[in-house]
Amino acid sequence: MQERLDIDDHELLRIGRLYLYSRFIPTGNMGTGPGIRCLAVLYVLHRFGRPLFRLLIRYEDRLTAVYRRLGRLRGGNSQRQG
Amino acid sequence: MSVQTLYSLDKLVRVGERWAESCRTVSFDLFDTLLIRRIHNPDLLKPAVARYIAALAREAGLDWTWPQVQSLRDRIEQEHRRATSREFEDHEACYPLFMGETLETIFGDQYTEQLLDRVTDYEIAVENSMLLPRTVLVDWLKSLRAQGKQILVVSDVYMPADFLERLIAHAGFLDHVDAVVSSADSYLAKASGKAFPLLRERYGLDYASWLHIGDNPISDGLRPAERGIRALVIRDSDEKWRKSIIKRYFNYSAGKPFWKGRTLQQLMIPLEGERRERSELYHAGYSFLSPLLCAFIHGLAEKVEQLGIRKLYFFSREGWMFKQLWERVVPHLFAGHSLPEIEYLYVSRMALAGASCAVQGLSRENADIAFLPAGNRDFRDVCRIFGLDASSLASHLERYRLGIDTVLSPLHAGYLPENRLQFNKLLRDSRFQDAVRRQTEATGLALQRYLEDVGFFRQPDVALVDIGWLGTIQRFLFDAVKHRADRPRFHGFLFAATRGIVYPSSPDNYIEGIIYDRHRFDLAASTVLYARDLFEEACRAPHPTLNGYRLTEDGYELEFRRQDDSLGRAEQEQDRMYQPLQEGILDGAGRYAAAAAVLGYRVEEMKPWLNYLLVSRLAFPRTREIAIIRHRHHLDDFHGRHQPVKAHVREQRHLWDRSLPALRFLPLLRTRYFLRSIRDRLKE
Repeated sequence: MQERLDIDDHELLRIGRLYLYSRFIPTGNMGTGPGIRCLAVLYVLHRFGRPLFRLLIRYEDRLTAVYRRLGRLRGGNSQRQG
Repeated sequence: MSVQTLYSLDKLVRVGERWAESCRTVSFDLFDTLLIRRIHNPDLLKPAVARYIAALAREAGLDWTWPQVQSLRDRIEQEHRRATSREFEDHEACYPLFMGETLETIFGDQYTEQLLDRVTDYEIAVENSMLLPRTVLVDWLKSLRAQGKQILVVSDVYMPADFLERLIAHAGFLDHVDAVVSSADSYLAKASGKAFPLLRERYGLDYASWLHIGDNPISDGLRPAERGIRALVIRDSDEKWRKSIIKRYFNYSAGKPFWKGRTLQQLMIPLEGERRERSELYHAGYSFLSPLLCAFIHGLAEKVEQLGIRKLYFFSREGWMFKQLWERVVPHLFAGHSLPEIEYLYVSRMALAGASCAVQGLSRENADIAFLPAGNRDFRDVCRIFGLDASSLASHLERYRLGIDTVLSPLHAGYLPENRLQFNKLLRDSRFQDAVRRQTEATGLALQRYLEDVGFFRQPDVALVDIGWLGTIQRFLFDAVKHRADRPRFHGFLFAATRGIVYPSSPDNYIEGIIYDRHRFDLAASTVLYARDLFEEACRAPHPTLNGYRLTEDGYELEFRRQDDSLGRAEQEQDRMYQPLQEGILDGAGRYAAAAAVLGYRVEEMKPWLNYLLVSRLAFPRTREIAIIRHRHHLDDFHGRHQPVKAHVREQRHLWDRSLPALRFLPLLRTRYFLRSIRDRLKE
């Protein structure tokens, strides 16, 4: 759990399972739900983020520049976080 | 030029040890080097301070919202930065100056230096709640100091050095630092490189024997290297990963409220030196029960503030946990507000039942409550609960062709409806009721004395806090004091209001469930009903239950249940078993408070996530979770020992009562119980 910076083992899979379940049986008010895209991104981030970041950290400046350019193309603002 | 970028802390320390051998001075950057923040963006701490200032303004009779305060602060800070940029290369600002001007603008004639100190203290407290020392680097700093190196901490920030010293002291290593330097004091920053000549002059440093460590490639890398200072820049991939996760949760929360509660829990996760091997029970308390119980307290505080209630009573024994959670959570969430007084009130259904009869007698509604537990069968059980002497009331029963052992509950063999009707007639008999009042007069008076002693009648409104479920304690308490002209209005707040029996609500006496209330159809929150005893045991105080109030010559005495019998010993064993769970709950409370104060979410906004926690952990728990967290013993003196008929026993079995093999191997067991739960909620 702490290795993946999650609150419990396989928490995101659990969220996904309950979300899928709620498509067939009412499970109560969970707002707009987690969203499939958000779940997928968070799953990748928790599960594979550590090795991915270790691999990509050396190219951070170049990747940030590419990300900013993509953001400008999409018309959004990309904010640097310090 | 000597700059090296390292991508792991261990490597940084290894290289740094080598480089430091020939250096007399080692300077460190502070934020994101020695100290890390739980939240990804330090600017997100400012709204918490803005809310604090807005609360202080409200207390002073001034109408300022927190966005207005934040906007004013930002504008004044930018003006200060523009002003310093005319004279200095670095566009720095100094907190006491711009915050002082901000507060003067808001408070006008009411501004004082003490006000600035209060706001400063709060801002530092919020920072401290989100900062923690990076263990590897702080340990290395301490070892360098022990080797006789001169240790400096240098930061480009709007907080002056004395503020930074408070942060470092809180992190526990100020004694190992020779000097703390901030750009806010001199307006000379590392970013332009101007800070380094200042330090050389002030402390007589030699560039050639100086090592600097930080996270910014320009301020901590290029600029010192330009002066001939050796520089190590840390680009910690794990730290960036951690921040990217919290950033995602925070950003997703804006569009999908489901993630708000999850974001709060992400900020609760132990980091750095907080990580320790903990038992699974501790973890269950920290990650599951703590957010739920803290959300209850959070919601309670919101309600109490809305209603302007100035006194809260936490009912024993679950109120023991609630009171501690209130003390850890509410002062942070409602900083700057005038908080109500709180008190732990020694009550119980058994202790109050008799007292509730002292003036009104035994009411039909209260007698019906006595037969709700399946183990209660006859008039003996009624007498046990209400502290009556059955044998001296037998003659009254005989007049209605009833005996002490006549079955009065439909759940038991031998029940006849006409007997229950006769019992209801007995309850309308004035001679019977006079006898009941005589028997309970003393306990009623003892209760009045106790309540007077704790100032119960001094407030016009009191909030009464209990775990749930029917509000019986509050019902009995109200019955015991309703005859008094000075009795307060009862605002009852329960963790969950199951309302199995109608509560006699009025503007002077009502109950409301915070996490679950049957009056608001909430399928997810109703899963609390799966494991009520779990919540009771998790919150229960480690002292015996109150059996009654005894009148003495000069006052009263609280009578507690003995602990040397088998039930008492079982309860003590349960206390020991749940000690790590309760520790986890309380540890989690501190982190919940810090996270909630920063994020500023209301409980209602976190409801989707809380509902997910309830459904996933209670209705669809893993077998292992039930095995770990299920309580062993649960004492309930209200319940009798009679065995109801088998059909009813079968109906009473819940998911959490099933055996571990059944939980593990029976297909669709949780789904079947959940469908049954949906059916039960719809039938209500």
